[in-house]
Amino acid sequence: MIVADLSPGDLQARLRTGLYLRTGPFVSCITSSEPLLAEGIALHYAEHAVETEFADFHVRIARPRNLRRWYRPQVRFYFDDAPSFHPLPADQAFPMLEWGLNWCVTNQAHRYLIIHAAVLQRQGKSLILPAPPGSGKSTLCAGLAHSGWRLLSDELALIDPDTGRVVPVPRPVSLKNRSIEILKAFAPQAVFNPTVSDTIKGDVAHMRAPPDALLRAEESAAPGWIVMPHFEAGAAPQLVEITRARGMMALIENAFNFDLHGRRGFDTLGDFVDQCRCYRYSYGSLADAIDGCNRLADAA
Amino acid sequence: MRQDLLRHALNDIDLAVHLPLRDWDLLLRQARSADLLARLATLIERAGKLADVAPQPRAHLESALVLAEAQGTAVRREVEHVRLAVNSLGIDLVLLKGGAYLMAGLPASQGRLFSDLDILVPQDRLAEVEATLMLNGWATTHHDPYDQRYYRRWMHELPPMLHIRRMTVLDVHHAIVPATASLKPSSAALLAAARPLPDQLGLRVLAPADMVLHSATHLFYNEEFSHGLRDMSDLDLLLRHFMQEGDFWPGLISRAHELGLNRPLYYCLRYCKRLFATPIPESLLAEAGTHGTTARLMDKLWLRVLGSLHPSARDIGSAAAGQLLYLRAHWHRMPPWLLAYHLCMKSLRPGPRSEGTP
Amino acid sequence: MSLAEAWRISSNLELACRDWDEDEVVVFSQRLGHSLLLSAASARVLDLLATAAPQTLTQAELVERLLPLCAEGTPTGDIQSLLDVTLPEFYRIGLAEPWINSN
Repeated sequence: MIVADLSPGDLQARLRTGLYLRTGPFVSCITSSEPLLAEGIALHYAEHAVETEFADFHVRIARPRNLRRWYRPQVRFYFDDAPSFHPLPADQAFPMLEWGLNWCVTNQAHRYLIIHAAVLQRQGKSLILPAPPGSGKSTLCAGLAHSGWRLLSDELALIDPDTGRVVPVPRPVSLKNRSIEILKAFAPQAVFNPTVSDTIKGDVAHMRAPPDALLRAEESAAPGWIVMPHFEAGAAPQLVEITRARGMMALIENAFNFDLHGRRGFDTLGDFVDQCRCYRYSYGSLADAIDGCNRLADAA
Repeated sequence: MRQDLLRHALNDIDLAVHLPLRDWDLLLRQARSADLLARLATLIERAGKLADVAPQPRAHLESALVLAEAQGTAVRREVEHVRLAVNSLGIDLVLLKGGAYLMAGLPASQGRLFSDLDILVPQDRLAEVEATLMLNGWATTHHDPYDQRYYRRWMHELPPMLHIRRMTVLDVHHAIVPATASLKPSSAALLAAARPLPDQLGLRVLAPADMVLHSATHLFYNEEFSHGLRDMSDLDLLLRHFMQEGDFWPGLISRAHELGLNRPLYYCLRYCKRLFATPIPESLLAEAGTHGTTARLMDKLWLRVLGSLHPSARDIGSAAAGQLLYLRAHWHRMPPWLLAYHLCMKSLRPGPRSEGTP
Repeated sequence: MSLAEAWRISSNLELACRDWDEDEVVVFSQRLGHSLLLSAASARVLDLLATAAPQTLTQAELVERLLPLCAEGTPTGDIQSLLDVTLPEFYRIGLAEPWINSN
């Protein structure tokens, strides 16, 4: 069964007692009575499987018991019934779920080496975009996902130490501020939920993962390219190959849990980078950036 | 059985390994909230049965193993920093609790997670130790003058110290119970009996019986029970390990008499046997103490709070039981007039800020 | 200035290294718990210290051993200035320490 098989009433009923939702290798049991959350799940997770027996994470989005329950209501994220994060206005219930699920993965899935990076795939190889916020990583990721690249994740590159491959966690792509309009113009077919204003990250909208990403959600990807994107308005595109040593440092510096894996993590990342070419890429427009990534794939 | 799943799993690894997915869904939550997921994972791994666990829960066991191993490495590193600082005063570093189990290579260290490091120093060297630690980058955490006074006057430890670069927390104890407690085990006696660790210069841990008595006193005379089952599991592993030394049991009883810790030992033995079927001789239990007129009430209270605190294992009464035992623990640690003063101050002051953003 | 000053690698670093025959390498110490990007030249120095351990090496000895590894005609002064920068940096990050020979 998938989420689209459930009527809006059924979905809300499931959410009240716990919806076991599959996203890549993880199943999250989500409990909430927030109508906006149900709408967000119906839109973004329509093609995702609904499970019954086992969840990796048990999360709940609920209104904390305080006066603000009635006056400018807020929601709070609970992991295993323990409150996490500060409460947010109730209209941010869906973004909160997304941030919360990322938090679950980065805090509980230490079986993997987890890198803060977008991951896509073409020609059987993965393209890893490790970058801090503000580098244009998410915009580029969303654009590539609509330009013949398969989306594995916009935030979390999970490297499996047993196989040395990247495991997909296809979920909605989070876009902020101007990127939202840029993407809507670039890919009119992309599906978005309504923009939520005034979050701690500014305006936020989520773009649904393209169908291809979900159909191939169980297919891991081999190492390929590590590209550090750098957006600079108006700049001419410039793709510079850098040393593998720098590529490896970029993975280490953006890893959430490298320090936990010690020597084995070092070896895993070293073996991964062995099979990669590494680049720094400055660009001034989304079209330029996509063009550059395509040329990398075509040259392979 | 569902309520008690974690305890059953710890007691019977074969049962745990072959649980259906639906039960693992609950077991993982119980184990995580009791801080026993890594212990469960280690027990399964050491039994060579990790591969028998279904892949979904196995991923979480592997995750917990990664975390526990990394913490072990980090604690060893931290112990070395603290040892260098304390040894510079010509004092051996005496480790307590988790840090001691780890450095002594005891089974109780397997899959045990840490939030801080605990050490014991002679009271007459406390000021020097604190000064040296501060020179080496540790700073006091409680800046509120009331807290400072509270710790320094009435507690058995300095306010927790935080290392300003490594952000690690160190608890410096000069006794194992607060100065105000009704129990008064001699810290000098504990330090005198502390044993050096083979091949590790300048490092000591409490003698086996003292280690058990400290852990038991800490558990049964503390005010915080969220690690109750974890602490009981530690005690179970300590007892099973030390009992291999021939004269451990009689020595334990006489040491408890010497230190005036009969009561916590009695509870420890009684509930270890109840919860983990620790092979404690019946005769020893009888020797350790009688249960008295309040026996049934105490059993009920203790068994309730020592259970896992995951909501599925928490019945309606356990919140109240936790409260009652909190008062009881406070009562034992402080004279009544002081208790009233402390509770009053606590309620007048704004509480600590709730959880921060991740 | 550095009369009898010699250098030795810090103990128990448990080093691992990734070298792709580039200008830079990545070095990891299990004991320090972190990774470092080193120039290939600095990595050579570290390697010499690791090979010599537990013996120490003076700057002069290091120069002598580095010379055959460098391109022909490299002035000793270049190697000297590399060491002047690299060794204090190694000390700062905990990879090596100066050692005054007491005899």
